[in-house]
Amino acid sequence: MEKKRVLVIGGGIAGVTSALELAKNGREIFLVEREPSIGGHAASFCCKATDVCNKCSVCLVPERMKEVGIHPQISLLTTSEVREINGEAGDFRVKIVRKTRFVDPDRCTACGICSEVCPVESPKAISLPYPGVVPPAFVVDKDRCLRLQGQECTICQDKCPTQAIDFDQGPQEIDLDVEATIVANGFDVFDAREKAPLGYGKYPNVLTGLDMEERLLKDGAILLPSNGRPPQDVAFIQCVGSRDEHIGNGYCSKICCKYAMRFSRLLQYQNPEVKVTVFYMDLQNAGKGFGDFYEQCKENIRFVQGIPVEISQVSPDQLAVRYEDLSQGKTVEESHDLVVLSVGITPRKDARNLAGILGVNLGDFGFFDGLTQIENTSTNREGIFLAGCCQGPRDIPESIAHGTLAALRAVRTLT
Amino acid sequence: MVEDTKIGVFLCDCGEVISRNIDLSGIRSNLEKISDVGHVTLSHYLCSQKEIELMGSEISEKGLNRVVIGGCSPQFCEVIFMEAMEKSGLNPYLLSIANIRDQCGWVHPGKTRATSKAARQIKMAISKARFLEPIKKETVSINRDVLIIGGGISGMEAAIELSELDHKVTLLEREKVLGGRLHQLYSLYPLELTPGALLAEKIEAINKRANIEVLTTAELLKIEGHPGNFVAKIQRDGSPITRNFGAIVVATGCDTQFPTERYGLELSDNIITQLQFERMLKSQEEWDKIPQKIGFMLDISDEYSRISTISALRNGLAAKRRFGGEVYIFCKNLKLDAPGLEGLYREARDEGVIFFKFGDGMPTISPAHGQINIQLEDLYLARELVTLSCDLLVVDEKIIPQRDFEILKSILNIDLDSNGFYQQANVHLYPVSSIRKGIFSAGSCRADLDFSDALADGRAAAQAVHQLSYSGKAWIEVEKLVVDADKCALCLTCIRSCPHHAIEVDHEKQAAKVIDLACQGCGICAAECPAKAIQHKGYTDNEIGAQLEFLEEAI
Repeated sequence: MEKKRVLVIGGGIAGVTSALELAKNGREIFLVEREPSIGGHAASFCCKATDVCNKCSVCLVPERMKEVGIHPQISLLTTSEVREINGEAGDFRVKIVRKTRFVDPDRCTACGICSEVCPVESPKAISLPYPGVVPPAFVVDKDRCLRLQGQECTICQDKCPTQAIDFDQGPQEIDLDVEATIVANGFDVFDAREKAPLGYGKYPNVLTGLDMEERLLKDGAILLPSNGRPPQDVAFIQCVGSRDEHIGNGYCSKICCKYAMRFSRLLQYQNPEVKVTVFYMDLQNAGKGFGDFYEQCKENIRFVQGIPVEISQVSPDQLAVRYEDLSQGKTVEESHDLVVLSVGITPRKDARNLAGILGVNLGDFGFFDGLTQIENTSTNREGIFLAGCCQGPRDIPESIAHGTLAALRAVRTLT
Repeated sequence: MVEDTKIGVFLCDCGEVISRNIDLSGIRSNLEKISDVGHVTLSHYLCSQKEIELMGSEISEKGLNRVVIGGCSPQFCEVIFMEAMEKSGLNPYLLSIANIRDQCGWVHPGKTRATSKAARQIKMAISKARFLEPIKKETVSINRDVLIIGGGISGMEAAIELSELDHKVTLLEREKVLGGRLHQLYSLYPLELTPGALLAEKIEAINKRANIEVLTTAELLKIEGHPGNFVAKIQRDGSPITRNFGAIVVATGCDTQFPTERYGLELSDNIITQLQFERMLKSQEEWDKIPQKIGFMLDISDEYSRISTISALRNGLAAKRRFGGEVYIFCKNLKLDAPGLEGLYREARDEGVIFFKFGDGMPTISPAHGQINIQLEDLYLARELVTLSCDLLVVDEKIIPQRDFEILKSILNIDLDSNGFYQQANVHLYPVSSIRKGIFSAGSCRADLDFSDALADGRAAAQAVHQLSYSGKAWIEVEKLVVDADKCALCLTCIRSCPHHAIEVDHEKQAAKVIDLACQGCGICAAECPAKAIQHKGYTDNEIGAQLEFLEEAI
């Protein structure tokens, strides 16, 4: 039997899952990823375990990435984008442009010599993004690399023992024939600057949920950006960019209540003295086992119903949060040293462009549109399927489930 | 120890990364002195195509029968080396890897200490290699037929999906008809499809497929055999049926319960459950019994259920639209974290459904003169005490496991979670798998799932079954765990401790026997066996002992 070929667009957890599921069913997969490495957003998230696992599922991501990296039936096309797709289900002809990655992942052995010899300091202009990155190859920072900034520097290229570095290679065009396509190009995190009164980008001690993830992953702890000291009094503000008709995001992002509670527990685990307040509209505490977790959270975390409208900075290390105290029926101000904006999931900015290339509809709010609410992995174009957050907000386990379902649908087209 | 071991040691400096901190050439000359080491090489990139081919030819030319690698982590390259060994006719399990890059070169400053540790690790790997035994891999045939227990939405969906993937399906239903909860629901709004239409559609799809066998008024009595080849004894209308299956999907649904003690009152004519209200909406004869003022109480029976929120929004909106009147929804937190619910909430508000939010203070509910008086502190009204009366109060219920879960659990030998629902193998990674290979659970028998999630769950189970058995074959490691029949006292410790129920009694040999297809290779049995009768190849007592012995000597 000739192996059936499937294109998967996007190497986040949903795309990675679809690819693996299909590969396990004996298909040949081309996984196209825009970035130099796969993993998507979830690869930059941190483990939120305290003395117990809090089931954030982030640990599932590297496991699956690694499997994709070594699976013989999955071909990884990094720094690549789909430009054209013609034909129909069972016989798609796809044009992909592969921009130069500078470091050939097939040759790179991640020995690190290039980074050692790179003359650009802290950080180096060529580095391994993080341990366990897939493919396990170094990545050039285009903004810092002297060569790419127009200077005559080829030190890393000269020293690379496997000749994996090549600055002269141009973009490549790749043509593929595939039978089905799975779109899993993910989401953008809501840009908190759109909510100017909350002061993100203006006050250093206002962070987003994503900042927390990245800082915790990198440093293992949260310190106040203003003075480098541990925070004492943290406020989480829920529904920033979600459930908000004014900005056209009339949907719940599903993930923010859960991550805010997990962060709160983690902060208090690291420092039992820290006070945590969560401002919310409706707590989304449904889900297997999550009710118990919420009960534990209630012991030490203050939950306040009502969303603050404005944050101001009273001193470099103090923020004033203004909100309507529903129990008193009036506006009050209270001070915190760190405010975390629980930003939600929005459609990718390039979703419209990709939808145009694929001939697939976008639905409400700009996410890719499933055929019906219960057939939400299928699209208006036969043979093209959706997986993960490109179709709507999902957490990691839900993205995995959706990726699996998309794979099942693709399998059925192929049989 | 196997006689005549001829060990090939392959050292890799990973592009000089390892040799910078470790004196590999020194180690190499030391190793060459070991009598049963038949070959030592040092290369730059052992994982490169050229070196792998070279390794293959060294193995066959020099007749090497063990391979030891000193290089990077087995996570990166183990598969490649195993492939190369297999190609040159050597069993790929005769491989031992010392991770001297990550564990020595990277973590220890100073060449002397890193080198001595690396040398020891490589020698340990060599001592282990002497005891390694080959593991055979075999293709065994597995049955592609699937048994689905429960003909509700998850079970029906799984059956349809599997049938379209060319699996023969037997769908078992205890009642006279398929459909489960779909019979009780009034609408699936905002879906245009009614529960009746959806049910008819699914039943038609099932009837059309020749490879789905529906057994109604039937129950599972007994399961024998192993994953891939189960034998099921089924009872239908009192007569027994026996069938063979490769996999089983449990989709038996859930039950609901009104917790009188939480509400402090009993159900009555005007205090009814959500399911009772659905029934009233469903039958037109009951419509004139639906009064003008209806209240929906949420978050009292179960604060953490999304189903109650969905049901209140859906049916509150329906009642408002159809009968006018007043509709109130009382809740703590609206659970809107599923597609379309925010929109449904907005629609309900636009239509005039009134929402009240109470905090930790419970509302007071007092029936009087055919009315239900409700008093609560509303959070949005500055905790003002709100008093209003309804003609009908629809209360939320707790989702509970069905009574027969315990029975099915012992028939299938799977686990229940702390709330009595079916336990998943891994809540996130394998949500529809059970602890036993080949047995899956889908729908509201494993978690509190709304109709659309239950539907998706049925499909997920279908995919999991298909992945396990699509080819009708499984490629398994044979006798990775070996039982020494002479040592086995049949104390059954292994059988009790195996979480995957992969061990049975071999009556002929009077010893425990590991079922290779069910075994997940966790090694618990080998660790627990008091007579040391079970050995886990790759981690046998001899292999581990040889390494430890060497370690002591060296220090």
